Amino acid sequence: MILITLIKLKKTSKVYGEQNNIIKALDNVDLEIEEGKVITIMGPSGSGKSTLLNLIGAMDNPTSGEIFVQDNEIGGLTERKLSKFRKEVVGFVFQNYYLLPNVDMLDNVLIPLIPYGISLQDKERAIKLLEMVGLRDRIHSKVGKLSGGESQRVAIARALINDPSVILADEPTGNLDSTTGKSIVELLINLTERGKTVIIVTHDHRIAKMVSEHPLGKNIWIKDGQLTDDPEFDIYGW
Amino acid sequence: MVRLKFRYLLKFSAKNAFRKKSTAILSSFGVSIGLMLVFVVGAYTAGVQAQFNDNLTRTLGIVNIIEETEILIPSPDSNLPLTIIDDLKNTNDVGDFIIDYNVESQAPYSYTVEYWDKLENPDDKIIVLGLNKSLDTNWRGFTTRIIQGRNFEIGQNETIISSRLANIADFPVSIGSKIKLTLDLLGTETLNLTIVGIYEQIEDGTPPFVPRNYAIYTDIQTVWDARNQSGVETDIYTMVSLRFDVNIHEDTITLVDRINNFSNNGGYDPTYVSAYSLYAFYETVEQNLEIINSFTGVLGTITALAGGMAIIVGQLMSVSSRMKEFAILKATGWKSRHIMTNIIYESLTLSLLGAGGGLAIGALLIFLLSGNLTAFGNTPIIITLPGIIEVVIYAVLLGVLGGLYPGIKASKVRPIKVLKEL
Repeated sequence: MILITLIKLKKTSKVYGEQNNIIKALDNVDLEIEEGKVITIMGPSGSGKSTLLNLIGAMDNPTSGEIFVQDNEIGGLTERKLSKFRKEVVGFVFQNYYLLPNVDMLDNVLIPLIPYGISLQDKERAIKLLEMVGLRDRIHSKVGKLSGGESQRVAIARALINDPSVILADEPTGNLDSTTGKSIVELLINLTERGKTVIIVTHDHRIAKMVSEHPLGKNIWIKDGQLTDDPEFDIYGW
Repeated sequence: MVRLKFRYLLKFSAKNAFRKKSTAILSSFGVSIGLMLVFVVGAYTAGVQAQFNDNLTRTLGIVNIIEETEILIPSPDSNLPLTIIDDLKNTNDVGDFIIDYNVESQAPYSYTVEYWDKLENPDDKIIVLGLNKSLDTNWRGFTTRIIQGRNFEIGQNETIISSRLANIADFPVSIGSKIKLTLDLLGTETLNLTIVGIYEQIEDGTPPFVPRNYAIYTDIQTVWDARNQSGVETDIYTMVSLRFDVNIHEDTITLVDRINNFSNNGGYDPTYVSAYSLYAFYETVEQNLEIINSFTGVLGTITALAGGMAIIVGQLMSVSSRMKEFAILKATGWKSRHIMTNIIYESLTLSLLGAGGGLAIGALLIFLLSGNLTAFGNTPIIITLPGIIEVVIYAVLLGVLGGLYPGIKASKVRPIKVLKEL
């Protein structure tokens, strides 16, 4: 099986702050992620894992280096092209879900499409996605009444509505109990069956274990802004 | 498949507009009050304008003649000889155009303090005018507009009063009631008239705070007798009205100028007259209307600013508390202009709702005002389509202007900055 490189980082660095107060969040990172893989980015707090995710998702620009996604260098995209990139290439899943409380589940899933117009096919796709995440029967429920796990499922459906190539999940189980968290990770891992590349930022070793056991899974370790293949630290001791 | 872009963003914005319900309702209510004011004043202006246009039509070709005076108002001191009609008919380039005329004579001092403070305004007066019944019938004057009771009989000391006086008088004015008027300063000579009819008075839009004369009519001989009784010159007309055969108001002005020039050159010697067309009077009214219209415009602008501020403040509060939401929207592919459009649609929702409220409250107010004599007088308050459109245009401007700054602020959100703070 030939795996195509979907995401490529070349000597990418990200520095925050000015002069005497500089924080090097990422330091000369080289990374390649193949299409269809499920990746966890593991590391302690402040290690730079969320920064890495945000750079891949074009939410932030690198201080130096280059980032390619689907062979497009995303560092210098205009605002218009950035929006197109975020709309068509990546889908975000956040720790706090960030669903809109005043609209129902179906409309929350459709939110990325609202300014571009919504067709009947879009609605049908949204319903299918809610069916996929196990919420088909409650599509018109207000999200304020949902549990954390259900909210995260809606957020995953929202991330998939534009059929992006890459799903970026930042601590997706951070607010969930272990059982619910496990089901969410399973859901994310299963997205590889739909051809998605899934990148999960977490510091939960159980997620890393689940991913590493998957044939397309891979764990990336990060510490002090640098990648390491073989962690020198005890992941159970974080 | 056709994508209904506008519809979904609008629907989404309309829902979001009421995320902060109390703020949204207060903003809308602020707009409602402002636009209600614009609506009601606009409706009043439209009523005055309609009356004005009606009066203009009715006064085409009509010219009043009084004895020369600096103030062009009818007065008991205006002494026109009975021969003035023939003199006017014989005036070159004038007489041939006269198709109809009417005469009146005013009783002296009839506007005494007898009914002070019993009319609408402390400075309002009652004046007694004598008419020639047959001339007034030809003229289609007040004696032909009896809406209650009957016309006066000659020599019976009977009078007809206006519908307005009948409505506002704080003394008995029903059919059969008597009106007692003094004819001199000392009040020693009096005139007692019995009310036998009420004639329809067409409103001229004069607001109640402007003093007015309430004309009551009797036959001209009764007035001449009253003048004789009080020792002033009798058997005269105090005013003659002419109707010219013209098609436009400007021709009336030309004929007025000819009469005045002829009089100034001693043509009616020993009498000197002043002729004036009612059109000239209404031209002055029109200038006042323009002032009212300007006032409405200024009022609208101030309202727009105040309402716009209400929307801006409300939307800024809303936007400030929703920055993370906008960051997420951007993260899902929304462009800056989508967010700005969303906020402007939200403002438009609030302002248009405010317009709806303003129109509803305004219509209710107009309904209530129309039923009574109020600060608006008897002027009809007319709800017109342009008036409604004007309110909607104001609302749209308020919505767009009120949403612009908050929209720009929201659209400038940097997702990474907001999300990192969470």
